[in-house]
Amino acid sequence: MIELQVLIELSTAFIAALISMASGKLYWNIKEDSETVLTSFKLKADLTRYDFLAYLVGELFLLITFIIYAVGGIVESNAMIMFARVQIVGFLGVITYGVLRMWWRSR
Amino acid sequence: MNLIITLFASVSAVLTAFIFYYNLKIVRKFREDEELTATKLVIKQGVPDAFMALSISSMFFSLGAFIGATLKLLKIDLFQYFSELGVITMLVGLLTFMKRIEDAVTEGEKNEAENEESRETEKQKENDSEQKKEKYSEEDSQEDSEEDSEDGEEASKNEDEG
Repeated sequence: MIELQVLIELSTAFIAALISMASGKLYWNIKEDSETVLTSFKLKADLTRYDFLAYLVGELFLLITFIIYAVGGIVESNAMIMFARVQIVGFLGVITYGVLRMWWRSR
Repeated sequence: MNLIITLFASVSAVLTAFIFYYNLKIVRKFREDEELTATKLVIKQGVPDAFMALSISSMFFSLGAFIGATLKLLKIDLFQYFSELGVITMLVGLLTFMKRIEDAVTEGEKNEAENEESRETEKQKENDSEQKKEKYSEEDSQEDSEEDSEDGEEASKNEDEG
């Protein structure tokens, strides 16, 4: 059981690092392109709208996940807590996908 | 009942609800703004900082999860809730991200309106200056013709004297 927990934590750390890297690079890309004509044009076209829609769905799932987490804390169910942890990794995956896509287009 | 986990999960749920709310606002604005003219302006102002906030907070999250994994791997019962702390920082970062972009979209809309106004005034100025130029050119041509006629009179006088 401990090994599974470690695996979950490590995958969370990895995905969070990926988000951090992608959004940091996106920051520099936008900052370097001082007129931001290129960046803004690419970002506005088709990306932003659908990315934020994707986030919206992800956040709804995350809200449900945290409720499950809280219930797991109340009834002290380890399985529920673990399920919530896996779900959090899944939601982070959605964010990672969105940020990576933005970064890819802003280059 | 595990008090810490319950507390953490409920705080996270509230934060997520706020994030959801701001995200919904953003999506609505994108929908209203069909040509996405406002969003284009926005990206210059608040958005880079928003991405920086997301980057830093997710870095903390990554660190927290990594420390948590290491502690569990080494079976040290020092403090079990590093990754929970990480999740909270991540959510706060995401909240600032959404809030900033939401603000930026409204600012962009305002700026767009201001830009349109300035464009209109510029057009008016251009029209005014063109009209003035036309007037000046007309006056110049009139003066030229007067000078020509004066020259002609002088020439005729010279001819008479001759």
